[in-house]
Parts: sequence; structure tokens; C-alpha cells
Amino acid sequence: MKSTATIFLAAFAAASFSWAGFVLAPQIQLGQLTQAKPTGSDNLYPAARPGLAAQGAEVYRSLGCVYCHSQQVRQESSHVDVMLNEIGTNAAKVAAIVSELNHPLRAAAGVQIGKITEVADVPAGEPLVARLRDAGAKADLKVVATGSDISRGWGIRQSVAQDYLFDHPVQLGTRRSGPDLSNAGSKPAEWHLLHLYNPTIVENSTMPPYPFLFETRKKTGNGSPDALKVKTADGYEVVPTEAARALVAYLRSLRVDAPLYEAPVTVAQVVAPTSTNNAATNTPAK
Amino acid sequence: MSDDTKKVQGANETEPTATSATTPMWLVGLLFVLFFGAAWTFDHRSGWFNKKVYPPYSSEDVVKHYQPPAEDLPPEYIRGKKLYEVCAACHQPNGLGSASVGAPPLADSEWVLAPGPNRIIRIALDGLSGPLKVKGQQYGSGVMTGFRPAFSDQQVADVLTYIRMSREWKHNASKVKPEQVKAVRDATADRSSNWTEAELLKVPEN
Repeated sequence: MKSTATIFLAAFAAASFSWAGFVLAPQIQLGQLTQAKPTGSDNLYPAARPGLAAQGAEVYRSLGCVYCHSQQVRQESSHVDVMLNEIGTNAAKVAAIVSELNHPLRAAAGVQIGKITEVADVPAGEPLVARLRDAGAKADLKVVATGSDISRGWGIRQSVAQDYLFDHPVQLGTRRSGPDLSNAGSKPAEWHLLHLYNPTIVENSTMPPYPFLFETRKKTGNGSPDALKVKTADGYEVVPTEAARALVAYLRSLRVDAPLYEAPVTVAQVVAPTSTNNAATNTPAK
Repeated sequence: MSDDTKKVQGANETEPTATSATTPMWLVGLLFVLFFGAAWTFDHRSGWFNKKVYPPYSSEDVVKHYQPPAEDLPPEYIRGKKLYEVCAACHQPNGLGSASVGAPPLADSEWVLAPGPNRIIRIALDGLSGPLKVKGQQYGSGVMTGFRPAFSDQQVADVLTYIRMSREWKHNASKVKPEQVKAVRDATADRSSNWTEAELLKVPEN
């Protein structure tokens, strides 16, 4: 065989070139990522997964959820909404400023609280907010991420590397036979359990049921407090197994909504639940 | 190649041999230009491998233009929010309290949102024990210690300002000034026990 050295060198060059591009460069770019503080918060993001949720990630992996569900919200663009929150005492002046704006959202009948116009970015909106504040109104800017994934309600901003810091392996997914699960944590645990047992609670769902994650057993006494609210034969109940609990803990931990520097977005203020019937909302879930 | 292979392929076929033929240099040049252009576009669109830049933003400068402006919060609110970590041990970061230690909620509480801070200054300074009714719900078992020696007038004012104005809980009550705390601290200087609900209800709300 002739030119052994050339072939070897060429193969080596090709391999090292792609290694540099696919392994080394991303490592240099993102390898040093650590937990960081989101905009306007003192809590580090992302939070490490608690034990049960970490086990759930393995259940998610073993069940092959990744074949039908992605965990990656895409974003196509951003803009900034100018929000009028309070008119204040000088309504006429505020109305004059608002009437200068050429935007269909402006109500013909007069000034209304809410979004008054849309601008390209924050510096473009600041002079307007300053004028409104001078006129005694309360106004601010709201950074909005847009895109088809976001309008589907899969998230409020795109996913970035920081969001996957504690994912080993990262289960991005390539197909979307089901919805994206980046923000699956926004649904309550009870819903997730019911849905795993019987996915048809979502209309037109093509997801297969996972009955083996649940145990149908004879009721003893009043039955388990964890029993699913599903129809069963008399005297029987359906309770989630440890794997189901872990999987749901993992799904509940999925949340991509912290406003990061590299993925800016204005997050709606967290409002404390107004329900007053039970102050013990922080007792651990059973 | 071995002789075996030759037999299978047939004796008439000659083994191909590598000969030297010149690669057209224009092709090498074209491929180089194409590759360079592709790499440049890729890098350009991803902000030159900046970890703070993701599409649709093309550079760090653009990302900077989309940072939500900082909220317009008074300094005492910001200091108070930090101090609230002490309170959060029982009253919880979300202000909903914890029934297991008998801590009533602060969020939406009529005690916190009273017209004046007269009563909550007293609670913060000397604590509270015994039954307490908050938002129509009876709380009984908890005991709150006083922060008279631990917190300065300024610190008490800061943390009470935070709980009265907390954005998270949608509160919008008035600020608490250090002078108000000092006045109460001096007026109740000889107090040695926790407040009780009955005693506090005798104190005017502002």
C-alpha cells in the first residue's frame, strides 16, 4: 500500500479538525458556565435538582420520552412593549403624549392602562417612558420574546446553555411528536400523574399511556391519599409507583423562565396566592 | 492486494493503481473561499463565540439593548428585602407563614397593611406570643422573639418597609421611617415580655 503516511495524516487532520470544531471550541465557549444570578434576583440559577427529581431524569431517559418530546424553546425575535400602569393626576398631558403615538393599540376613546406602543429595543423606549413619568404617570418597559414556540405557550423566552447546566445528558430531543417540555414544571403534579396514567385527558393526544408506572391494588381502610382520581373497580385504587413519583418530580423541575442576561425577558411579578384557607402551603408534599 | 482477491475478481481485470494527477488549484481556492465564508457567517451570527450572545441577537451590544430596566425601588426596600431573610425562616420567603411553627402569613395580612406601622413596630421590637387572628384565621401556638437588641431603628424600619411595600405580595402600604421606630422603642423601653393580641389591639393603628 502506497502513501500510508499521507492517508494517516489526512485522516488525522480530518478527525482533529472536527474535534476542534465540535468539542474544543464549545468547551472554550461554554465549558466555564456556572450558576448565575438572573436579572433582578439574588437566587442562583439554575437550581440543582433535588434527589427525587434527579432520579426522575433517569426515568425520563429510560422511558425514551426524548424521542417524542424536545426540551428546547426557540425564539425568533424580541421587542419591547411600553406599558402604561397608572395615569396619575395629569391625565390630559398623558393623553397628549399617548395621542402622538402612531399605534393601532391606542384606544380612540382615550388613554387606557396597558400596552400603549411597541418599540424595537429598550433605549428606543426610554425617552417615552421618561416623558410619561414626567407627566405623573407610571410607565415601564416590558421586554417580550417572540416566536412560534413562544406563541404556542411553551415558554416565555428561548432556552440557552445556562438552562441545561445540571442536565447529564442534555435531553434536547429532535422530534416534537408531543409538545416541548421545557416548562412542564408549570403544570401541577396531580395533572402529570393523571396524564401519565391516561394521556387522553389531553384532547387528540397521541401519547401512549404508562400504566406500568402505577399500581392497581386493593384499598385498605380509606385508601391511599395519593390514589389517582380515576375510575376503578370497587374496592381498588390506582397509586403511583416510586418511578412515577420520581418522573413527576423531574417534570415539575423543568422550568425555563428566569430572565438571564443572554436571554432577556420581563417576567410578570410573582403574586402570592390569595387563598387564605390554609397557611401551611409550605409543608412538604406527601 | 492478495492473490485470492484477484481470482474472485477475474484474471482479466488489472489492479487499479494510484497515479499522480494534479488537483486543479482553482478548486482548492474556491473550496477555501466557500469554507471561509461559511465559517465567517456562522461566527458573525453567533456573536463571535460569545457565551452571552444567542440568536436572534447578533452581538453583545444588541443583547445589552434588551435588558429589562431595573425597577425603581427605594434603597430601604432593597435593604429590607435582604433583612427579610431572617423573617423568612418562619414567615417563609413567599410571606405565607408556616402553620407548623405557628407563624401567620404576612402577605395580605391586615396587621402588615394597617394604615400606620404602630403595631408591627411593636411586634418587631418585642415579639408576639399567644393567639392571633390574621385574615379571619386563628393562629395559636407560635411565639415570635423580639428584635429589640438585634436590629437597629434603621434595620427595623427597612424590613417593615419591605413587608409593607413588597412587590411580590402586591403590597402598597406606606414606608416605615427610623424615627417612628425610635419613638416606639423609647416609649416601650421598659417592656420585658412579648406582646399579646389583646395588648396590641389597644394600641392605635397609626
